[in-house]
Amino acid sequence: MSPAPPDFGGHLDDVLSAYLDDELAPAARREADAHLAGCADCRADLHEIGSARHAVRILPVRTTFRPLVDPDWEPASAAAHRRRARAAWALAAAVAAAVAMVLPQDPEVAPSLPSMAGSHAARASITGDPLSQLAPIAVPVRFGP
Amino acid sequence: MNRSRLALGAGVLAACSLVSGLVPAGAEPADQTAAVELLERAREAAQRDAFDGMVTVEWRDGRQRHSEQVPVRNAGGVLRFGDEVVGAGARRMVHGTDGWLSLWGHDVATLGPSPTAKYRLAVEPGPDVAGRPTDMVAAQVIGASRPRERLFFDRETGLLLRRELLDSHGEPLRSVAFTSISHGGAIEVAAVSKTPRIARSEEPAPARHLKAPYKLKSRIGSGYRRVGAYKANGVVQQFYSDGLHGLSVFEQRGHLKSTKTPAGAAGPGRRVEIAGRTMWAYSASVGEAAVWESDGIVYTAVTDAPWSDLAEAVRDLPHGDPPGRLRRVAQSLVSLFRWK
Repeated sequence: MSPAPPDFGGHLDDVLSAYLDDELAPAARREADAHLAGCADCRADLHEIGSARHAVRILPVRTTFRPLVDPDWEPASAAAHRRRARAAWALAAAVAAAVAMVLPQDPEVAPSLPSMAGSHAARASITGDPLSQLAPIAVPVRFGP
Repeated sequence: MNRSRLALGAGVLAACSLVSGLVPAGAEPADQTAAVELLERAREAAQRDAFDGMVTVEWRDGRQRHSEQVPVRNAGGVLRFGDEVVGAGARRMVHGTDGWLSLWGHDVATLGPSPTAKYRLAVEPGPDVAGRPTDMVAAQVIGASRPRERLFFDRETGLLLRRELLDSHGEPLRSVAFTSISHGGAIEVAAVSKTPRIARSEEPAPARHLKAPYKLKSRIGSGYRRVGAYKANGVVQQFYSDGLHGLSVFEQRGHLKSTKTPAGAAGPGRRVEIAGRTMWAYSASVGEAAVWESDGIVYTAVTDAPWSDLAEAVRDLPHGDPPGRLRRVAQSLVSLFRWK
């Protein structure tokens, strides 16, 4: 028959944490060891607490608060915001296109050089020498490079 | 000699040097006056005298030299160039596919600046032209080193028999010259002096107060003064003169047709850059031309002066203002919906 476990008020319970942290006085520790040797429930508790502590220790270290600028951070409404912006641009482009369609467009112009040369020569011959101003438009007026 | 006499002498010398500075070396004031008189006499003779002759028109463009001949007759105040051009008083007519077109129909009050403001004019005996003795006027831009132009006047009648514009090497660039001429006698006065029946008129009306976007400039380029502004068929024409040459600036609302050569059926031009703006340039018997676009206006400048004068004038005209941002955006958007 195994000896009765030391009286820790039934089981070790909260004492297990101090036991694992090695915070018990030598006499208390001897008593705890004696209890653990005879109490399967407390051994199981000790193993469970020890495993949990190990699991916590191997977790990566993280800050507990969000930094001011975090490129990875995105509020839950960002995607919705982007969708709204895209819709606004599309609407603006559609309005601009509609406005552009009704704006008066400049006509395309292809100046007639022979005609303008004739007008120039006619005017120049009034105040200048009519012979030398008009003779050049009496020959085929060809504009070259 | 006392001090007051010395001061007077110095003043006279200063005045003399000032006056001589106004009249360039080699051209006496009497020369200038005689040259201006020859120019005026020639204009009157071309309208008054009866003559019959053949004129050769020569010009160069970037590729080759051209030469064309045209018969010229004058009687009863009507000047005829073949069957194509007629000048009668202040009326100017050209023959087109649909009959005679009137280009001009009224006299003008402003003759333009005196040529002596820009040119040094020298008179000397010239060679015979079309078998007739001449007096020659050499016109040199003040400050330039060689003559730009030579004009040969019939010593007897005063008619301008030959006019040649010279390039920077002194070679003829463009010329108009009688190769033969006869006066009086055999000219069929009745046939020559009959003015054609006008089928259509494109005579411009004077435009004294043009609204924006048209801009009237009183002086442009090297000594060109505006002596008239006109409007016909939506085209504004500003006419400038430097006393010897004319320069017209035509303005049309719109933008240049996006073809390889913008100036209608004018043929291939050359692309030039003036004041950072690319434009189209052309040469022809009548002179030089440039076409460009600026802020919703298409400009066409035509001159019977050399290209250098045209380039200087263009620098003083609007160029290089791109369309506004809104309009560019609108045009870009509209282009998306256009079929090409």
